[in-house]
Amino acid sequence: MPLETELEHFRSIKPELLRHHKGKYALIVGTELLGVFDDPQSAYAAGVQQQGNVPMLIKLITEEEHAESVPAMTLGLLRARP
Amino acid sequence: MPVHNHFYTAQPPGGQPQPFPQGLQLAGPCLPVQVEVPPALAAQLQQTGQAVPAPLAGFALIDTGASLSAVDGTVIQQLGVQPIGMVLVGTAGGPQQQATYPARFTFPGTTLPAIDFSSLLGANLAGQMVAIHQGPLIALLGRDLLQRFVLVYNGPGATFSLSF
Repeated sequence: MPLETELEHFRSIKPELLRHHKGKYALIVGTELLGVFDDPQSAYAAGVQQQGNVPMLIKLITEEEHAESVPAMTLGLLRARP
Repeated sequence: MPVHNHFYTAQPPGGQPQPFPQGLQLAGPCLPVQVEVPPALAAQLQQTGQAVPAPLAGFALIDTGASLSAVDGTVIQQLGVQPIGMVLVGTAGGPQQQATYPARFTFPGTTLPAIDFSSLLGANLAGQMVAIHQGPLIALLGRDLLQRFVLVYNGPGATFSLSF
């Protein structure tokens, strides 16, 4: 699964991030938190500037995560790409 | 408020173009779309002397059932854009984590502005053709986009409109 390392690191530091940066966006590459940003566009711009075109995790810092709904995929009308 | 009107018409031999509701029904509310690398990546590639991949063209279907817009994974791979997130999505095989990507969409031949998506679902749309237009479906426009627009779907009139 892509970004497995980054997601694991996010989960490990999430309580700390929630205490100080709730509602902002974390930028993580590997096991390094590169920064916290007001919006995902700023996080991405900083990520490509610092690391180049690499997989990176940009994640909203929030308690609850919601699932996305795409019925065309749920019903198998379109195929999801893991 | 600028409005983009999209008409589906058919022209009988020797006659004037007429509304073609079946065309809208068959094709759905589709727009021509070009998928491009996000501006931040384009700038970084130029700074480092690398070529910016050319935009890839196809059609995008407005999907009011989708909470998140999607792009064909093959298209995003051809552009060389790397994933920036994972989201949980219901699929025919149960809930799955799916990669998300940033990208810019432009809509050639329309008055619609370019849209910079921070997060698009990577989907397998390979081989899906848009009826009437006879072009490849490469994107779904979901409610994350529609929250910026007013969409009017006029079935009997064979038109749809986007105001922004």
